[in-house]
Parts: sequence; C-alpha cells; structure tokens
Amino acid sequence: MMSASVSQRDALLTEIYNRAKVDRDVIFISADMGAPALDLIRRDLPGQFFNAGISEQNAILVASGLALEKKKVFTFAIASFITINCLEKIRVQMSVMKLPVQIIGVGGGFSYCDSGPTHHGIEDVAVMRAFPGIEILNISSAENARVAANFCFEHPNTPRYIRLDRESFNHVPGEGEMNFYTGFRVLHQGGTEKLLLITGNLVEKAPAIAKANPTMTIVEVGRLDRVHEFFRNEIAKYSQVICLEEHFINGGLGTLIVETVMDHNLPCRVQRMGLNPVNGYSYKYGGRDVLRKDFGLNLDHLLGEKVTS
Amino acid sequence: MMSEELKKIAHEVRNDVLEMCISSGTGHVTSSMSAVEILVSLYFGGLVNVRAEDPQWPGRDRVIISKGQCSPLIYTVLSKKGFFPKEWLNGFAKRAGNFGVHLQNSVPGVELTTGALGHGLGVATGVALAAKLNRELQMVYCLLGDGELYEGSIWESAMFAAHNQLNNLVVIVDRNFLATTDFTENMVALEPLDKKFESFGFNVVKVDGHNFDQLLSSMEGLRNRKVRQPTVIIAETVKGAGIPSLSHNPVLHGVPPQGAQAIQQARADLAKGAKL
Repeated sequence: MMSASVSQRDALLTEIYNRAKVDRDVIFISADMGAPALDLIRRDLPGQFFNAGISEQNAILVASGLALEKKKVFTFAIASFITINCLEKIRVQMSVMKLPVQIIGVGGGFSYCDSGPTHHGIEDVAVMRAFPGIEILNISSAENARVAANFCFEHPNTPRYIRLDRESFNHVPGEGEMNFYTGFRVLHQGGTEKLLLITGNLVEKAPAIAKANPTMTIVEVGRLDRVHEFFRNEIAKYSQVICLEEHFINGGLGTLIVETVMDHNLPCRVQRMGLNPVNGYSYKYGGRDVLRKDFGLNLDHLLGEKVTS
Repeated sequence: MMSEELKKIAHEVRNDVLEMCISSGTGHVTSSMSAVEILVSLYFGGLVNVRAEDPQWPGRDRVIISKGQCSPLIYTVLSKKGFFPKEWLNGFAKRAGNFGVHLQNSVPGVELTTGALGHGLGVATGVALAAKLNRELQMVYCLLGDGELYEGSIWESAMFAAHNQLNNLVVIVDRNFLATTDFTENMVALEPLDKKFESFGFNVVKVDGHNFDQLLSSMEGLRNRKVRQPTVIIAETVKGAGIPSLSHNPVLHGVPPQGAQAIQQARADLAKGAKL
C-alpha cells in the first residue's frame, strides 16, 4: 500500500514510468506541468516525454494523433485546464473518434484552494460526463492512483479522464482495493437504510463519518461516468442515499445517482451534498473548509459535530 | 504530359463534385473547388503512397484533411482512386448514403473525422511524431483551410511541430482568401501568412494552387527530408475555382448552386473549362 506521504500524482506517474521503461509505445505529454516522478520519465525516457508548453488543446490533439498510431498516450495538466479548455478537442477526438487518450488532471475540487476560481475543479466532472465513452476515474488516495494506473494499462483502448487531487490523503481501508470496473468500494458496512456515497478528496472523511454514524453504510465511488449494474443493484438495497462530493451538485456524482435511480426506478430517496452553484464562483481563501462552507457544503452534521454556519 | 493528364482528372472531379452536391441539395461546393488541384496532385500526381485495396496498410502516407467541409472533393477523389464504388457519391448526405457534409473516418481512405476546425494540424503532428518515434518512413500530409487559421490551436500545433523538427509533415494551406462570411483580408488579415509560418519555424513554399507543375515541384524532395523542419505549402487558390458564377462570393460558402438558373450556369461554367 502506498504511503500517505506520496502524492496521488507521483503514485500514478511512478506506475506509468515503470510501464514506459519496458514499453516504448507509452508516451507522456505534459502541458508544462511538473512532478518529481515525471522528472524520471523526462530523464530516463526522453524519447517518450514531450513538454507541449502551456497549450492544453495542442496536447490533446497531438496525443490524439499519437493514439491514432496506436501509442499509449497520457496527457498531464491542471484538471480544469486540460478538460474545460479542450472540450471540443476532447469531444471530437476522444468521444466521436474514440481515440484512447488518457487525460490526467491534477486539481479536482478545491485542490488549488489558494488560487481562486480559475483553478477550482468543480465542473470538470459534469462536462466530461457529457461525452459518451470517456471513463472518469476519481482518485482519493495514492493507493487508488496506483490501482488506477494499472487499470489504464489493463484496458488501454478506452479514452479516460483520471482526476487527481493535489493534496495527499491517507488511504481509507475498505473491502479490498478500488475496482474501477464496477466503480465502487465499500468503506464501512452499516445497516441497509442509509447509504453514503462519497468520492474523491472527501473519502478521507469516511472514518470520522462512520464513527459518528455507525449504522450508515459508506461506499467510495471511483467511476463517475456511469453506474455499473452490479453497483446499481447494491444501491437499490437502501432506502436513503446521500451523495457527497466536492463538485457542483449539477452534473457530478449526485446527478449521476439521481439519474440512475430515476432511470431504473430504484426504491430510494437521494440527497445530493455538494457545492451549490446558486451564488456562482468564490474568491474566498483560507482552506478547503472555508470554500466548502461558502458553497453551502457543511459536513458538521455528518461528522457528528455541532453545525456551524 | 503529366500536367495535361492531371488537368483532365481535375475536370472530371469538378464535374462529379458539382453533380453530387446538386443532387443532394447540399455540400460545400466552393470550398471543394479551390482544393481540386491540391488533392489531384497528392493522389494522382505520385505524391501520396496509399493502397486503395488496403486502406489501413501500415506503410501508407497519412493524409489528414482538416478542412472537413471539402468532403465532396475528398470523397470524389477517393472513389476515383478506387477506395469505394463511385455509386456511393450518389448517396451523399442522403438517408441511405454512407457519408454527409463533413468528413468522417468511417469512410475507407479517410484518416480523421473533421468538420470542427483547428483540429487537423495537431492530430497530423501527433501522427508525424509517432512515425518519427517508430522510425517509419511515411509522410504525413495535412490540408488546412485558410479560414481555420484563425483557430489558436493551429498555431499551438505549428510551434510544436517545428520545435520537434517533424520534417515528415507537409501542411498545405488552401489559401482561397475567403472564410464563411467575408474575405480574410477584410475580416482579420492573415497576411503576411508566409512570414507567420516562417517565424514559427516552417519551411515555407508559396505556389499557385491551381498549377500542377508548381504544386508538384513544391513537394519534390520532401520525402528525402531535404529540410529539417516541417513544410507548409501556401497554395493560393480561388474559392469556387472552375465555376466563375460561384467564385469570389462569400455568401456562397457551404451551398451548391440554388435554383434552375444557377445550376445551369454552374454547369455551363464548368463545361467551358474556365481558365484557372
């Protein structure tokens, strides 16, 4: 298991580096984003590393051309830039053409909480979900990043968005490692009334939430592009489902679950907990909790704490 | 001699393009007409190495058509080259047909789905990079419209291609001086275009894009990697070339001649073999 001191980014890149050493078809394109593990690729495998400069659209296009020629290509940049700046390129090349480019975006949610709204990754899942055929892997820990890297190499023919957090979080133990095919992992088995679905950086809160709510079952969701049938059948066992994410409630995990419940007529009530878009964006600073509360996401009652405003 | 033969093919291609668009009532006739000599040079002038009977042959040269709106031309050229039966052209943009107004890679011989502009050069750059990494010898040709040169991604990709010395990449700009609603130099001037590409690190050649001799000689020796950087051929053309009644007129972007009189005039123009 990966140490908590290892960043998600370095865990993922180390796996890619190890594969790239023995497979010359693995190509890495950075849009001028660095990382210690990336320095290894740059140093040891210069023919497989390209810095495209701060040109995310070009990075996606060049990656698409390489993928067209059967290369296994990873692109790398800040999450909100490599997705939202490139939507049409992603749509045509990765969704229409189905070219299996692997997009690595660092900065899900308020990873860059000190940088203002240009750097917040709080609608990236919503827009990427709109494109058919692109898998979205939402990463909560370095260990999950390692598992995700292996998943990418085991299923190389699928376009994919791998959403990393900038911060390092402890890996929350659960029932086995994340299964990115079924897309979920049980973190805490409570009763069959309340189910908390939690994704990304908020997974680190699961142990405290479980302590405060021992009868609540807690599940980490690792895939945000679709709900696998097996996972859907699990959801159907509960009467109340709470979805928790550091993303606008429009289009993220909560929306995915609401759609699933509606489309399959599941007998459960869904509550979405996430960022309320009603007030638009925020220039608040002082850490993630400040921003979460500014967007109306208050975890106090889930954590068994006195609710603060 | 070759030039005369190519002129004959170009004339046939123009006729087929016009008729398929009249038949379906849609299609970018004028955008197709400007690039006829470019495409005929590539496919019938001995430049592009492809196998119609094996469209996915790994050793083929790659032709990326970024200006996907000239699909009537590409489909006509590919059918003439034997990639699929000519009858398919009759189904252009029709319910029972195999393709529509913009280019799609499901058609044999088409490498990339295009129509959204500003994509082709970046993808062609990736394809050329892959060939270099694999030490493969094929060339990558990329046709751009001048109207898509306003897309910022084009210049991002141009910088990348030049920096990585992709001398297996040949970009051809169909420089017809017209975008959708206006002449480029009225709208936002593109000139001096050659200087722009030069400053981005390209080997730049400017030709009359309707002159086979100039087109063919501009690409001579590129397979021998006679330059280290990627090449751009700025092919100056006329939008609607060969059909004066459709030329030099911004409002005729994206449509075939409308109405019996305009159709008759367009056919008559082509039959005259208007001087290009």
